[in-house]
Amino acid sequence: MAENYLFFAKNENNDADKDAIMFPRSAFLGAVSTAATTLEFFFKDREGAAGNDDVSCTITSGAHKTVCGEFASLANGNRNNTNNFTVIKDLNDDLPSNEGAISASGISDISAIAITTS
Amino acid sequence: METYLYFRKFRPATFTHTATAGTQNFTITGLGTDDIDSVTEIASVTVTALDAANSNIGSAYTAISVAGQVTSLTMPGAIDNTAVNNSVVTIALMNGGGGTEDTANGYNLETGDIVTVTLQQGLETSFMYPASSLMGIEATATGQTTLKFKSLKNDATIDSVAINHDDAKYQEIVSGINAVINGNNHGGIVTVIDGSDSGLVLAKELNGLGVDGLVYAPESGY
Repeated sequence: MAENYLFFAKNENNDADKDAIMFPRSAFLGAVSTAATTLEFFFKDREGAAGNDDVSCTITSGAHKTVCGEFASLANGNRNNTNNFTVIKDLNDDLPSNEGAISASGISDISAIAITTS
Repeated sequence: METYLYFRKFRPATFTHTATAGTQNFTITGLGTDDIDSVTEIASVTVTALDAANSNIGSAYTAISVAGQVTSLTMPGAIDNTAVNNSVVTIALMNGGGGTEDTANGYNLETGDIVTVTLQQGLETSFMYPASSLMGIEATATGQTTLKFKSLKNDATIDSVAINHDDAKYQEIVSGINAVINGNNHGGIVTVIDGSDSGLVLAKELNGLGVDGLVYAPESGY
């Protein structure tokens, strides 16, 4: 089965460091709550360095389980005849003119994203 | 298709404490042996006055004028992160603290005052791992089985999830986790243990094993 690729994008222009990131599903290590409105997703570091990459998401208060469930559903999605590009959350609303919009916006309970890579 | 294992710690929805004058701290119980160490788990704290005599409350609050008056404490202020440790919550004094009091947000408790703490999702209260991150399952004590996962932060250690259960149930716990992961009845996320709001939701494979505690120990704090 083809692997899903999980896409996150901040509310920026996808043209600066850590505006957006994509991981293969197999790189996902887990998620943990860090506050009432934050949930952090961890992925294997893309450069093999000590310390993993993470995407901290601001979410609807207390919706951790809902977001985890939707993430699992998206990550497991098996769509034939597609490129397996899976939007977990795309907050872009000001894309450069030469960049087409992505059709899906992802999990509705996520309202902000911070990407940290090592 | 990956199975994702979801856990949430044992936590009551609310906790009430009847105060004694001169004692500003109390211990939250019913936590399934995993302490509260972060103020992020506390949504709100209120004090219901026994009578109308207490004038030793901070300037941020409405003066108490009637028995049963409810005051919502300021957070942080009356309670900050250093005031929550090993499940002990300490409310700042308004006066009489020898210089450590908070004259704006403190509240001197009196005997019979009712303190109500409302809990919420906070630091490390819930977490999810893909089944492929499970490294092993170990009997770590009588009545305790520990799941070891690849660490989220990758600092050369592992994350562990200890499950407390009836004695001599290790094999059943292991068998249940195996069934959760490899059974055909689940797709996507599976709630393995959810002890929130004083309720207990278990994967059906763990029913009847006396699960009554969950201790999460990621390899480093967040």
